[in-house]
Amino acid sequence: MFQIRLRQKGRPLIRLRYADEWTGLLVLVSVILFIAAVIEAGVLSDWLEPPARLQVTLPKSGVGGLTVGADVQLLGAHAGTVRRIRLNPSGEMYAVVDLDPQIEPFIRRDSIAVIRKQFVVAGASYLDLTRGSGEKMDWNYAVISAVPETSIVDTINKTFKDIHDEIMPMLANARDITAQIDGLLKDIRAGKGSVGQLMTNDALIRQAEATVVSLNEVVSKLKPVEDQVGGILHKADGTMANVQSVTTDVKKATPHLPAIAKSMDQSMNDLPALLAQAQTSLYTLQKLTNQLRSLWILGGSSSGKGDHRRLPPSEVRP
Amino acid sequence: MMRGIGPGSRAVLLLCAMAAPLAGCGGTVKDPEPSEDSWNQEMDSGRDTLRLGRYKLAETHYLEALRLGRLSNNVMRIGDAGYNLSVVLLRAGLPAEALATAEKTMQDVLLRNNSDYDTRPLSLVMAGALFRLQRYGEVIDRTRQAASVSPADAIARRALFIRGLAADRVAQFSLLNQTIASLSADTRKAPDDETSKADLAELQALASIGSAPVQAAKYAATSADLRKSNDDFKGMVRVLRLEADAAQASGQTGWAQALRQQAEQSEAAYNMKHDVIADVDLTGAMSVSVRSAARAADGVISQ
Repeated sequence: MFQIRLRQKGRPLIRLRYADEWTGLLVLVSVILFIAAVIEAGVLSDWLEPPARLQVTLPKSGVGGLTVGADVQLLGAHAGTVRRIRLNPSGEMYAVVDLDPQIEPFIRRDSIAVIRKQFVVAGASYLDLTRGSGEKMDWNYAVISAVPETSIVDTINKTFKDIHDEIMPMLANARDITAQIDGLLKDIRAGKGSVGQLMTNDALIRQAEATVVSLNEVVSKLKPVEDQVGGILHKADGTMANVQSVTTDVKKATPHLPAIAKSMDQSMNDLPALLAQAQTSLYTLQKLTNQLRSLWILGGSSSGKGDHRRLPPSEVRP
Repeated sequence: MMRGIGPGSRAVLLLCAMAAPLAGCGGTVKDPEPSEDSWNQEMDSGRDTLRLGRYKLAETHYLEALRLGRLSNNVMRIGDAGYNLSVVLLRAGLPAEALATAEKTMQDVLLRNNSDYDTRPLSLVMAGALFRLQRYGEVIDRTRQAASVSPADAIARRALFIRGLAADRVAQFSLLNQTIASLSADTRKAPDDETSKADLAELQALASIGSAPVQAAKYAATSADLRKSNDDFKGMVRVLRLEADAAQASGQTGWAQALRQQAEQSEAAYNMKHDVIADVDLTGAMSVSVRSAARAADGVISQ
């Protein structure tokens, strides 16, 4: 077209009255840029891949500063956006949330949403979804509940209240103990009780002195007994010397004990064999006497018993 | 000059002349122990200890005999030792153990497939154990084979007695009367069998206690006397109680009470001995052997 125009020295054969080539080119470039912008903005992706729609029932105490367009996070990552906040006919507030379809598997029926502040106590509110482990969510009617984040101020208040509840009884006890000690000291000072009398009355001291004097007398009387005990201990020493002598004799005899024990052990080893031999001999003697008894000259008979040694049936006694 | 034979020399010659024929007459007896081995010794020791009422020691001997029988794989020795062991257990008041031992012995005997060995003694002791366990129906079944031998021997007569007792317990009086008739006929053929006579009298007492208690008391008294003479004290206690029941039924209440007291005293003494002999050691075994030998020697001396 350009070549056609350049080569035409005279009047062009076909002349477009209301169009220009450069304008057309500009329009085409503009259209292409628009399409590219649309693709870049993700509008198409939104059209092609619609977001998951989740309805979050908000707490009755309020939305906690949650607004349309607020961020929705799952495990600390961006997961969607709050699209609308509505009031249903029963008076409850709920938020409609668009979620990234990729996180659908993480949201289950037991998932909950926590309304948090971006900087704990300040900043924009956002919804923090917890990862569920229960039944799968029916995305045709996906509803979960939201709870407000526990306020740090409330936590601090509660902690202070607990401390107060613990400390106050202790203070009361301490006050009571102090009052009792005070009363005790007053009583002691007034001479009440043994300790008070001890501090205020000299009679007890005098009695103690008299007791000490008596003890001295007792000790002086015990001195002859002590002499007797000394004699007894002397005799005990002699007895112990005798015991020691006996022990020494036993010690001298001890080396012979293993030999004696060994001899006894050998004798005991022979005992079972001896007993067995004695049993066998007695059995043989018994058989011999049986044979002698069966001799006709001694009045016996020659009838044998046979091979069986069964007990007679009369021994079977019901 | 020849001198005449003096009176002393004549006496010596006379003794030698008498001793010569006697020398050929001795030793004809057959040795009752065919082989002098440990099995025979254990069996004899077990028999002696059983006679002394030392059941635990007798059990030890028969267990050893059973082991030796299995060692030699001899069906006769296994069967006899197992039978004796069962009898000892039954006498010691352990019927369940006696039944189990007899059944095991029966299996061991059948395992060796020896048709010559008579298993009726094992059936008999099983019947005795079953009677103690009050399984009377099984007693009747078990004694059927043991009692059906003709001519009846001691085993068959004893089996008839146990069968009659079981029939009485389950009130099968026709079977009881039938058993009495069989046992009566068999006992007439064995007049020396005091045990069978006692058994027969006891069964007759059982059969007649309902209709003729006086006659039943007489039968029971006869049986008690026979059992006492045979050292069957447990059976004697049973028959004394039967006699007491008969005396009670015939109106002799005082005599019945006296009989019951006699039975209780005898049973208490029996159980007391049972307790004393429960713990037996090697010393006991030795003393039993010594006593057996001494008894045998005493018999020789007295003859």
